Amino acid sequence: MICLTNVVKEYPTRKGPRRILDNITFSLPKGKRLGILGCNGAGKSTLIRVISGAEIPTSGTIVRSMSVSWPLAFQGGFVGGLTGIDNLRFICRVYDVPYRAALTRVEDFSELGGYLREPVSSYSAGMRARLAFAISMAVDFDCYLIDEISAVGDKRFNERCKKELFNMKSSRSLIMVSHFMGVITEYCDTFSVLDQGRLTFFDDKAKAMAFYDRVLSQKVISF
Amino acid sequence: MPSSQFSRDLRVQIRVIKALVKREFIALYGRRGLGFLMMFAEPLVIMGVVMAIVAYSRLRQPTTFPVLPFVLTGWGIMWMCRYPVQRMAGVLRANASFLYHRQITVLDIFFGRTILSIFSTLVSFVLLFLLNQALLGDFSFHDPMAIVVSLLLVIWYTAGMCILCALLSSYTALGDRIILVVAAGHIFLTGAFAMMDWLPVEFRTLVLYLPMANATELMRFGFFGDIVTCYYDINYIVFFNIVLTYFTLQLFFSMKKTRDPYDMPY
Repeated sequence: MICLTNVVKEYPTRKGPRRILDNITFSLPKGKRLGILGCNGAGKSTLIRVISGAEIPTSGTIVRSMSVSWPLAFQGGFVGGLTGIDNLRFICRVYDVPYRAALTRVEDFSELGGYLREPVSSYSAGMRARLAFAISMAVDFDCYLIDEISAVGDKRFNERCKKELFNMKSSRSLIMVSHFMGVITEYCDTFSVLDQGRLTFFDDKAKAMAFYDRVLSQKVISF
Repeated sequence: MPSSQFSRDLRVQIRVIKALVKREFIALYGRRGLGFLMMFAEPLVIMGVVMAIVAYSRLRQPTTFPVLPFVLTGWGIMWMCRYPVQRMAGVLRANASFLYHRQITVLDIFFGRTILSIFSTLVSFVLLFLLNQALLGDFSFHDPMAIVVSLLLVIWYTAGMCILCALLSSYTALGDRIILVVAAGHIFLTGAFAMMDWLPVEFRTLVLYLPMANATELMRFGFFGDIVTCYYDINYIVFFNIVLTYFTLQLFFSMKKTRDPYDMPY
């Protein structure tokens, strides 16, 4: 279970604080897979970071009663100067996971081969996504936070991800943010839209889609 | 159970800092061949060269003054203050990605590099110390305790300076430039070049406001005691270190509140 209560996040700007997340309250039970849609700058990545605990909300509380992954995103999580293996070793130490077993799983799942021994800065976006998924699978969280990253995997890798995420353990939860409905419907069973700092939940994807389209069509995105 | 929660958190923090120290080690010295020797080589070469020059000149012009320990203590402490501080430039930039893991805090990242660079200078110091003793063929000191206390105070001071400089580097645009000045300034802010006894009285009272000049003098007292009069005030060094630590932590907490780690001057 993850519980957010009245979470507010503001960033300082030249014109004073800008509110990115405005009183977000929801809870995610174990096994639920939540997809969050939002346009550019809606605060999706901020929300994911706040849920993960990488960022502290301006106000409000977050209770995590299951293990939650770090935000699997394009940047963050890994240091570019280190090799994939060194990053894995570091994460194993931090999360207190046996390294040998994790290495076997990561080698097997990421299919990066020799590139695991090259610096992460030399990876393509897809390779980074593979590494991020593989390492987080090896650590084995109850809830995965995915920030766009699944969009860069090829079909084979996405299939393997889905299998690993859901078939192995049905109690696994997921929070995924994207501006693209396709990925969200593929992975999630609950849908919501983040707009103007507020999160709106929908029973089915058609309603979510309609709402999201309306938001997009009405709005000239300005920051 | 608050105590068990605390010990659990403490264990996580220790694990994180250990992992960060190892990460710094790999990143800075590489994992191939003898790369890790570079950890000691840089301070070792600088201090070693100075000591070699001094030893050579002493051979040509014999004197009763213990020149070799004089250089070892002076340059050793200067280098122990200078090198780790210099290494703090860009510490957060190199590790910011790790902040995605909620267990890892900015302070952990600072501690990781601080611990590793202090350790490397300390090992070089000990190696040179052994070399020095071997050259002198004499393993007796006036007061070994004074040497140990002096080392501990230097380590405390350096750790405080490192965290302070890491904060400047991470949260201010000019930080990395300031660090260069602070680090180079330690050439003159420690008592490397002279015994306090050699200075005129008025100048000496001024110089003794420098905590590391006191520490150097304390260590020299430990090495050769009564040959020269040593001027130092342990209480003053402790006092200075406490103020430095307090100021650094205050600065850290105020910066942490007002600045976001994702909003740094890169």
